[in-house]
Amino acid sequence: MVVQFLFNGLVQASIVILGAIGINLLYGVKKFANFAHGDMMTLGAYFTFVFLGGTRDLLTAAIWAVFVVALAGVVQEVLIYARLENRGPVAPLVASIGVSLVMQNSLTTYFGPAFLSYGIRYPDNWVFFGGAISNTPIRDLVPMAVAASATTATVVLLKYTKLGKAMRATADNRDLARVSGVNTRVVYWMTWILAGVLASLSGSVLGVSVGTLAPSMGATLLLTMFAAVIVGGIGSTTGAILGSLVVGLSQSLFFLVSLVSGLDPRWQIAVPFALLVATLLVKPTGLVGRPIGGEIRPLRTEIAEMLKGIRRGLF
Amino acid sequence: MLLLEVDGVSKSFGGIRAVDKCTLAVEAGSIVGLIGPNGAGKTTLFNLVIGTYAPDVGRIVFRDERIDGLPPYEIVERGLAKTFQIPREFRSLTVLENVMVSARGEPGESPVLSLLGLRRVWRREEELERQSRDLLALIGLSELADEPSRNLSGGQKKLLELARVLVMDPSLILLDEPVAGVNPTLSLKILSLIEDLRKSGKTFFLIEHDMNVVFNRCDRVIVMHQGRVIAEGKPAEVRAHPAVLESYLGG
Amino acid sequence: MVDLSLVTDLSRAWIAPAFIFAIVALGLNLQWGHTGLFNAGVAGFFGIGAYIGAIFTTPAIGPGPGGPGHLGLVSLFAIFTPYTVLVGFLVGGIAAMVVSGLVGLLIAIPTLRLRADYLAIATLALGAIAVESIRNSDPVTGGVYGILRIPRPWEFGQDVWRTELAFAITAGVIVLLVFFLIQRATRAPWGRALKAIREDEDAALALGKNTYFLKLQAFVIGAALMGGAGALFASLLRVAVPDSFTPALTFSIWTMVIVGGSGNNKGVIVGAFALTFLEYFTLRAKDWFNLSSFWDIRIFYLRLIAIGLLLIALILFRPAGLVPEPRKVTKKPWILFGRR
Repeated sequence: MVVQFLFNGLVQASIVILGAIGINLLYGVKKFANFAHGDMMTLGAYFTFVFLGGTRDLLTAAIWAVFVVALAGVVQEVLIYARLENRGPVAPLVASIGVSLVMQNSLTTYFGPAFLSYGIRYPDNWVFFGGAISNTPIRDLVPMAVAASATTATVVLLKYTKLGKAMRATADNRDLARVSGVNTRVVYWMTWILAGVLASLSGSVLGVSVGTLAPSMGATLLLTMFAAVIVGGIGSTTGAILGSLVVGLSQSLFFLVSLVSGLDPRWQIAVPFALLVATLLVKPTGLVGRPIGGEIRPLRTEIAEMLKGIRRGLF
Repeated sequence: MLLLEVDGVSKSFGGIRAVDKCTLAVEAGSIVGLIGPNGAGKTTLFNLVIGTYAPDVGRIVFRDERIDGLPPYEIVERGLAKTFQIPREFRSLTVLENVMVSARGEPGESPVLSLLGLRRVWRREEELERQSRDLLALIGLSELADEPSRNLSGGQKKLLELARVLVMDPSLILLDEPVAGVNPTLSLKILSLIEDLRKSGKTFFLIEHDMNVVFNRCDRVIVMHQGRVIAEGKPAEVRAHPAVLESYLGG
Repeated sequence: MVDLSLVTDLSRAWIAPAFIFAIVALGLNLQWGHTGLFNAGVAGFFGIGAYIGAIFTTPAIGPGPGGPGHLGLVSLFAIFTPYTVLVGFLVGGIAAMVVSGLVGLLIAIPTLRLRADYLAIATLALGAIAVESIRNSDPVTGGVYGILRIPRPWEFGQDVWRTELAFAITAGVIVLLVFFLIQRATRAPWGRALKAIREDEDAALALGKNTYFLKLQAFVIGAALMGGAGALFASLLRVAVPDSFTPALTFSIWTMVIVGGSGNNKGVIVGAFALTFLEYFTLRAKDWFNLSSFWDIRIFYLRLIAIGLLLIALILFRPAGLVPEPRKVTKKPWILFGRR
């Protein structure tokens, strides 16, 4: 029984992981939290639908969609984010909220608010390990397969290619990288392209897994993806992967626990959010993250000082 | 009397030890210079004294009272103040407001009293404005009092840094490169102001790279290198000290 | 003769909501414009306040075919007939502010030490948790169904225009009061210290300001304002449902603050009116312009696209907002109290 829920947790993690890696890349290289990332996923899902009309082959459609989303990323960079480079982390964040509104509602305007579907016929359940794990093959296994391969490809790219090294150098210290000969503009473009590719794939996968497309499908996952990134450790791809696993498994295990113990299972939606907040409070750098600048003193000290301050400072 | 004592203080960031078992003292009413090559840990030491960072080990004592580990607002309350190496003015506030906001213990900084708009609060405000304008006159920034501070030149911003700490009426003032990048006339003005203030009882601890300033104006000089104090004494003694020469030329 | 139905419509669909959102925006402006705290959980505080207000003005309903039922405390004020609802409204409003303020305190204590973008993510998550909690607390909040048939403090039966106008005026008076108080507090040394924190918290800290405590004050007071506005909102809509309190609502308020010019309280109120008018326009466009049903549905999304583009344009070209900040932060108030 537990194994089934662990499996479900892995499936959930698979859906989130590619988006989380993308968010993490953008945060590491461009230093901002992209609130439009969920909508990039939705864009990928919808364009897969569009191209499906032409090719009738889901895989080809998904690949064409990737081009669209990657392009969308570069366009955003050129029009918006390149101009916000030295304005701190808040300006691009607000801009990304604007982008999110534009993207999501443009899709709704064009396609209408009703649900769409890829029209896949899902085969009957497969059963593994003598009944321990039951799954709907396409719905559950496709996300895992895509997640595994795309994640591996990304990790290889980041670790072993020249581009990957350039991206990591820029993330570590932009000015130093520039001075060392890295063309940061190209790095930014490639980061957006990579993040766009991953987002589009995960959007298509989400469409397959859930079965229906809605304009808010990606945005609904945004907080979960942020939770994965922060829990794992911002600025680290390993962190994004680890965080996605933790978040996916925790959510699934909570569901299991709630069924058994009588807690309200509806709360499972809040599990990633709770993990996110807990991480920010206890260890803001996450499980594997690099230290952020400045000192963050322990919570106890802060509270103690606050109480002292209140006693003296109120009047 | 020893106003400030730093005793065996160390501070590391990540794997790097910025300050390493540093021990020094500053006497009341003196002007002490802190010199050393870049990366010697001088600014970090200042940040430790003012409470921005807490030392990993060691003690910092001010007026016979331990202050290490206290937050800055408690340390400032006891009569310490520090400027920044690169001026950090509050850009959207005017020059006058920059100075006034730096004053400590203002009753008006409570939301309740501000809301009530008590006469007591605004009488103090008027007095503070007078004091601040006088201070600006002393420093030479009077005409710019109502100018947004973002419009100031680099040298003027340095002056503003000084005005901000002076309005706090501290006993010990930590100045991080008070005349770096400032033209000679202005430098002279700042330095003679420091001398005047010292005569009226204040103590200055300053980081400087300009050796003329250090050797002509300071009563004592402390030299840091790689986080440690490697020499201290009167300017003439330190100038000839072999370890000092080596740290600047060699290491 | 004035068209009474127009009075009703304008009051209920533009003026009153504009006043209510102005209060929320003033609260957010205190947190962000004055102090630099990025609160992305506005909808959560607003929602909490709405439900508290609803609970104090509506009678309790037990579970039944219409839904799981909800808490209702208006019967506590039965002794004040015929002003039961009015008293409930006042007490509810204050309770909403207190509860929102407390929730704000709980949220702020651990998160205020985080950098602005982390604070944004944390508050976004907490806002979502708040709304989720409301949605799951069936016996108290009515769960997904919410609280319905919330009465107004003043009802004029057949003269709907009177009811709506009275409410709009009430909201307006409250906005004036809030504006007056906020201006008073932010033009005083307190506001100046907050601005310093916004500009450069580390410098303010090194100058001896208890920045953590000051930020806490600004956040809690801002949250309390959002809660109070929420209580008004519940009375306006006459319902409180969890789906009203979405991140999109938070982003609308953000746009109002940014349009008006962060830090400028008057500008923020202008921003609230402008954006609420945009919403009103969207609602009425079908009738005014005889739109086909295709466009009738889509005009809502076009409005959101417009807001998104506005946000992007503002951030790129006019980050200080359309209405600039006053040059001097500090200004002595006209009316003073206390010993001579």
